[in-house]
Amino acid sequence: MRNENNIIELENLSLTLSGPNGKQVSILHNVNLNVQAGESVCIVGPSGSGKTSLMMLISGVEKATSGRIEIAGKDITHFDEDELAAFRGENIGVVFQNFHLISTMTALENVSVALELAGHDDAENVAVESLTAVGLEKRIHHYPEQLSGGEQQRVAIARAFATRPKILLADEPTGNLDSENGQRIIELLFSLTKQYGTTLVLITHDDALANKTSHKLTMKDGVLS
Amino acid sequence: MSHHKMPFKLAFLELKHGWKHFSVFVTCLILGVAIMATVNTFGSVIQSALKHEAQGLLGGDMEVRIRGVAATEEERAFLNNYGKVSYVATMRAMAHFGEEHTLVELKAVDDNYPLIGDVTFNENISKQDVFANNGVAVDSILLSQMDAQIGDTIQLGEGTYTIKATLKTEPDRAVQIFNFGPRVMLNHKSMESSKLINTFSLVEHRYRILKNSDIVVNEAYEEKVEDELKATFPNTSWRVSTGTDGNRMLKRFLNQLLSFLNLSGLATFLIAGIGIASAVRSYLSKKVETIAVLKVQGAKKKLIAKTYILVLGILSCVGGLLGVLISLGLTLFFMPFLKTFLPVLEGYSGLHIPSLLLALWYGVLVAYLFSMPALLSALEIRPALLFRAKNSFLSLQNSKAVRQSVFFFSVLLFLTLYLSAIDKTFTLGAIAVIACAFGLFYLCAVGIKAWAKRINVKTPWLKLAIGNMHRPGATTGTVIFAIGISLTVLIALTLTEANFQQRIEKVVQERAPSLFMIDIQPHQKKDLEKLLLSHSPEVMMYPMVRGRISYVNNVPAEKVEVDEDIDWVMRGDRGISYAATLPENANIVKGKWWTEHSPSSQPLLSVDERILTGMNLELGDTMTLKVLGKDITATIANARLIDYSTFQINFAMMLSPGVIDKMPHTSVATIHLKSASNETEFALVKQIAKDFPGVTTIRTKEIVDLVQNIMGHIATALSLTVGLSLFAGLLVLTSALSATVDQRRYDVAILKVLGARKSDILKSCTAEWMMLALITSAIAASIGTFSAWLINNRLRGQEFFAMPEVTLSTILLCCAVIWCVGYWGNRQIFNLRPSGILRNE
Repeated sequence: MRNENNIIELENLSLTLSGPNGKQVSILHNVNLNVQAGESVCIVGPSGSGKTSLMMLISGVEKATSGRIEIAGKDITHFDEDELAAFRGENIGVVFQNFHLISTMTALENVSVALELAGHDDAENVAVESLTAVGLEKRIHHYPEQLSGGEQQRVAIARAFATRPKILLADEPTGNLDSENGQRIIELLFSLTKQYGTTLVLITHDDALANKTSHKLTMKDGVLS
Repeated sequence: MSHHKMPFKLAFLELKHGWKHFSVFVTCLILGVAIMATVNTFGSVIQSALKHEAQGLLGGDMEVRIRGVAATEEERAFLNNYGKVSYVATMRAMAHFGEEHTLVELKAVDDNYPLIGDVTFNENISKQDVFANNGVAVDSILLSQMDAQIGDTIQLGEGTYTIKATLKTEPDRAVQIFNFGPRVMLNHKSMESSKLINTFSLVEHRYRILKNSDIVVNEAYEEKVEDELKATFPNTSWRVSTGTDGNRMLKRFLNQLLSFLNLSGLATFLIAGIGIASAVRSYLSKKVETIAVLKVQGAKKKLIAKTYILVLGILSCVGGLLGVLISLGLTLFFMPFLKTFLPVLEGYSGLHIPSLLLALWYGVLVAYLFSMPALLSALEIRPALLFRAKNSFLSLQNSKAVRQSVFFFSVLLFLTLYLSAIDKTFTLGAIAVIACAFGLFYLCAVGIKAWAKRINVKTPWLKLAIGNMHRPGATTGTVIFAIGISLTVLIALTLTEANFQQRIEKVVQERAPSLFMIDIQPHQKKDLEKLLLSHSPEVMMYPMVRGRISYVNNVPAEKVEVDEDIDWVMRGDRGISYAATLPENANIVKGKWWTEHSPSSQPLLSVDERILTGMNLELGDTMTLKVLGKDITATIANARLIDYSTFQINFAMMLSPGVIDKMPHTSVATIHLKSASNETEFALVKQIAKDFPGVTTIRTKEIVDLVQNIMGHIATALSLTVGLSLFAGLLVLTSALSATVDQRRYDVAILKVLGARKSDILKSCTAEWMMLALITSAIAASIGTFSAWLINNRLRGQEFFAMPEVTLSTILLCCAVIWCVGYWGNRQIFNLRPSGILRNE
């Protein structure tokens, strides 16, 4: 159902990839999803069910085999690599389970590079503010290997929120953290989402986390229900 | 499994599964060992041949030389006291056959020639039969040059000679590089009929002596003989040399060439060493997690150290052996070519086991020297990192162990270089130059990193590029070393060769005379001058006597301290001229020509200005010249700046008129022909040959061609080593720029997720490579140009052409190559789709 308030609209989305033996493996089948601006949606499901692939399609780092993707009022289905990159820079923030910080950049550089790519003039100051917001003002010149897992994830969150994206995609953000650190990351994620009015799409195995979102969807064998 | 076997097992597994990662390591070693083995083999074989064949090349145990005049009967009789004597006279002359006139190298020999070895002919004829009845033996090439055959008669001076044979071997002919023409050999009796040998003709009179058996011929004996000769016959200019240094010029030339090739080989090896260091660091960076896991499971540092030392040792030996095999192929392939220039190598093979073992030893040393910092740093990897960042890189430690190991292997390398050097002084200098170049490029790398860290730009792709230059794990240093050193050598050699060619061209076009005539007898002067002036007004003719400096300010010449670069002035006889008026091409830099002095009864002398500086003399000092046994003391009135490369007539010493005018002398002349076509020159050469048979005419173009030809051969040898050094640089550059591709792929995936476009990544990489290329090539151009200037000065070139277009095109080419290599090595990251990387994480 088309709705002007929808910030994410996925229509009959399918994804098929080549397996190691060259055989085609169907990952997603006719997925339909509408998410309204400001909502928080959680996708749960067993490993290998296609959750991360769905998130990759929404973020535009993966191309769908068929179907249509409309994000923030723009049909990105046929965007090329560069158009997708620019679109992501302006509209989407991503937080990964493995943090994915650039190991040769300090915390400050990891955050400011995202701002610079989005064309911010005052990237460094904004990056410092973002890192301060996640409580890392004293660790801004540290390299990822000098930070704990929880700290690295906080840098990743600061990076994701620094450009004030309309949508934040978080792929099991607490999956690599202990419960105490996980809890702090959840609180941080939700408080920032609320503060900036960001739409949140979350993948998790954590029921407590799932219960905090406004909608909960289940993915099984590439089908969303 | 026992603890002793564990390192072997782990090393075996590393090599079995990780051999692909060592391709750059092994290639660098092969290249380094191959070039060192080849240069060392050629060096050793040439040294050994020169040493063993020294007496044969000299033509005896000892040689006594007199320039200009032959020994008197009394002097000959005295020489017989030292052993069996063979008299050989050599000079340049014109050979005439019908309408053909060719410059030849004449060699008159006696019955005792050769004292060592045999002279052989291609025809079945004895030496006696060849030289009987004005018979001559010639180089085969003369027959084809003059379209003559065995049995034809040729004219030499005023004599007529029959070609009876072609020369097959001439035992005392060491090198064919500097011959002005083909050899014509005859006996002294035949030579007399040519009437070419007159007082002060440009003839070298050599008396070879085969010692009496009980005497040891060494430098002390050489000095003793020279002293005895000088004491007995003080009016003759004697020069004695022994078999051990008989071919001093040739040896010096070859030693310099070999030392340069060695230096070039060493530079290549060190560039390869940087490649080795980069390859080992890159490999161990991939092993960070493995080493951490091994440590978690209880592996001690010692076990890890033993494992990787074994891996490196095995790879060094494999790479080294392959390098040795390639070197063997190269030496066997090039040996026949080398033998055409150095006949002395005939009978020597291209296999020299000690040189190959030495190169292998160098391989092991360089491999460990450059691998140790990464290896010892890897031992310090903390297992804790397994709980931290996923993409860990190997940071190089500046620990005591690293410093000690680098020092230890550096000292071993230095000692090996020094002890195996042909020319120890040159090697020390070369090591200093290489160390300076490495130091400069190290400072350059540190400077660039510091600059990149400080600079603040807003443009994202540029910021990314600058950041990539200083971030941990950046390959800035490796890239700078790889291109810096090889580019320096390339620019230095290109400029040196270009300068040489430029000078030759300029000299030929602007200043060089067309023809050079020597051995003009007094009765021929007027007619020849008339003939020359009918062709061009630009004719120079100067009388010439030969004499030597016997005293300087009344101090005997042998006691005068002379700088090395002008010691040739003191060695034996030199051409001395006189003139009333200032020669047109003279460039007086001190004092005045005698026409501006008040008339004086004291003879005045004009000298090359380097004689003043080299002997610490002033105007007004005196020099005593011994000419035909007569001492002439003259006051130095002025000094001239002489550029001997102009091919013009220049005398290091010129006397005022009225001093030697009446002495018997010959003249030399030059002519500038306005229309300097080959036809015009040949026509005049023919006419001079016809009308003045004793006069030898040399075409400047032929000398230039000869010099250019020699330079061409030297340049080929040097280009080959520089080419290898460039190849090594390119290899290391490729490996350095590709070494970070895994890291870059991951970074680019994240950057693309964050919004970076393909063009941003491409612009960023281009900016990074171009900044590195431009800064490094600018420094390399500066050091290279400075080195070329030094070499040019050493070769006594007066002006240095910096030739910015040569340097600029080299720099631009370097930038283009770096971009292409960088793009090729990283091409996959530009079109990378982040999903592939992120999915696998």
